Amino acid sequence: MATSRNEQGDRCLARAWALLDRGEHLARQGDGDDAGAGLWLLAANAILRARDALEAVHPAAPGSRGRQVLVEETCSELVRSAARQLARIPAGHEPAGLRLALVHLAQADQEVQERLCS
Amino acid sequence: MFVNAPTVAELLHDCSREVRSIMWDITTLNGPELAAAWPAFAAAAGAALSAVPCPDPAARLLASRMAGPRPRPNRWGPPVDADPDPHLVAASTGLAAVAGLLARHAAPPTSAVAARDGDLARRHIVEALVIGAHATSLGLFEHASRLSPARTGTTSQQPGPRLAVAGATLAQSRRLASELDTLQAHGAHYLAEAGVREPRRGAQSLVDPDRLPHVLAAWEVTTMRVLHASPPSVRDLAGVAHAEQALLMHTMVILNAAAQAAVIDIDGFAGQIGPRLADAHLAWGDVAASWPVQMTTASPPALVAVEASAELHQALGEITREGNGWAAATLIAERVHLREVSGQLRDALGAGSVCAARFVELPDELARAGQLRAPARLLGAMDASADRPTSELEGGPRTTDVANRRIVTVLPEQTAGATKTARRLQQAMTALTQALETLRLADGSRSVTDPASSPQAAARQVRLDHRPQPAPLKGHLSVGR
Repeated sequence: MATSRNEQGDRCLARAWALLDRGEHLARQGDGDDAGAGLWLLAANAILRARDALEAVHPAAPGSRGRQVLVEETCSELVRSAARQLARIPAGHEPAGLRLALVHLAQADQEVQERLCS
Repeated sequence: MFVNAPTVAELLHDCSREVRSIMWDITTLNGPELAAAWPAFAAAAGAALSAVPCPDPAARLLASRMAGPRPRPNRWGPPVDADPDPHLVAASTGLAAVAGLLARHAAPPTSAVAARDGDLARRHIVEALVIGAHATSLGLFEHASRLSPARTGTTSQQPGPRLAVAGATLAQSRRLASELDTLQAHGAHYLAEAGVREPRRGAQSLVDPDRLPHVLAAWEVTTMRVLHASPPSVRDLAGVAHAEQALLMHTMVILNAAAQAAVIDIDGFAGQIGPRLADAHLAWGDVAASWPVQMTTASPPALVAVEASAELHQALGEITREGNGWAAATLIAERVHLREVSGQLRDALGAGSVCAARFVELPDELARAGQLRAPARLLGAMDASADRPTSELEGGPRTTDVANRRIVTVLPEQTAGATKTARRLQQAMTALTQALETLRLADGSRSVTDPASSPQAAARQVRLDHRPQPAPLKGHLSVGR
């Protein structure tokens, strides 16, 4: 049972990592508006930090099981999906330092939302 | 403006830093020392809060509570036999100076801007109070727990009486801590209400002048550590490159504000600096892309690099951003001392130039050490995109590896593209730093800052000795009055 929960946690982390990786890629492309390109770069950097923080606390996160084909979503949806994945990690099976990754994820979400509101 | 706002603001920033620094110490909080300093700190905070003109009823009530909850003469309880905590003493001194300044110079506000300044000063005083109360209360609770008798069976029983740590008794500690918790809650409630009342722009108009140089220095040290790690994480390499890209973008915004405010030569900025900043920005992006996410070394990303990047982005964003977009040049000029910040950024770009040089070395170095791994398909695709058809004999990925989606070790000859990209970046950064050194304003040639005295310059000395040192910066970025 514990192994299965561990595996579930690992899967959630791997999926969250993959979602953020895709989100960062989309944010780097921006919305095609030159004026907003710089701000999209900042949003992409925020997502990159969330992804790297996740990988730092759980180096196996970029594992192949999470790198399945992702449904094409917007950058905002990808970041929120990543947050949902992390929320699904079974209680007690969170890697140490996950809270820090969540802080960066919250910042990334805020950055992306600001881009959508501007 | 009804008071000398920068001076009051600087004093309040110092107070804030002092009270926050109590929590930075890695040693245990010393409750008795904090309690010994508390009455004077509370009195100074109360005096400062009362001295801000036209206090609202909530501020008046809070100021009166700072006198203490008990009857005279010892309204915060009997004196504590300990040396007062130096941070709290320094904060008290600062707040007393704020009270003195306001008492001498402040008058009822005659404009909305002046009223906002008053609100902001009140808010900063209460923030310092809340943090000070929190730290003191925490220290006293810890002290009380040390004085509590051990529970049977949970800790070892030592013979003889338990000796109290010098200072407050158990009851004294608990009571004062409880009173401070109440005051803290009152202060937090005041701040929550103030946050609702206060317009956002007013809150953002003050930027801690010490923050940017320290963040830039920390960034510089962190990047050097990351880039010289053995081996560095590929994620960190891409992260550094993207953060440097962001640094250039913020620099563009800030130097543009400096040019608008005639702090630097506007023609020099438009003709020399702007285009080179744009070139270097693109070049950093290319270098970041040369470290794709599929490529790895044995090292995971370093949290310290993620944190330093977050701090850098935040510190620069406080200056350059407003709401969902960029701040206007006039607002940036209100927030920071443009001459100093321009000098700090000039130094930071000098350090970025050193980073760029390291990026030239890294691809070959890592590949020769056999530390770089990537999917064979990625290497094949990179060769194809570079229009470089290579056979297996020339160092291209093996067909079977590509077909079987193998992860292979990257060979030195396969890093030629990344090295070339980094060389272009190095040239762009060199051109940029040289242009910054020649940027002048028509009416004078005062240097921005002495590079040797800046925190970044000090941090640069931390670098590993065997690494190339940055080209000396001559402080030629000149300013106007």
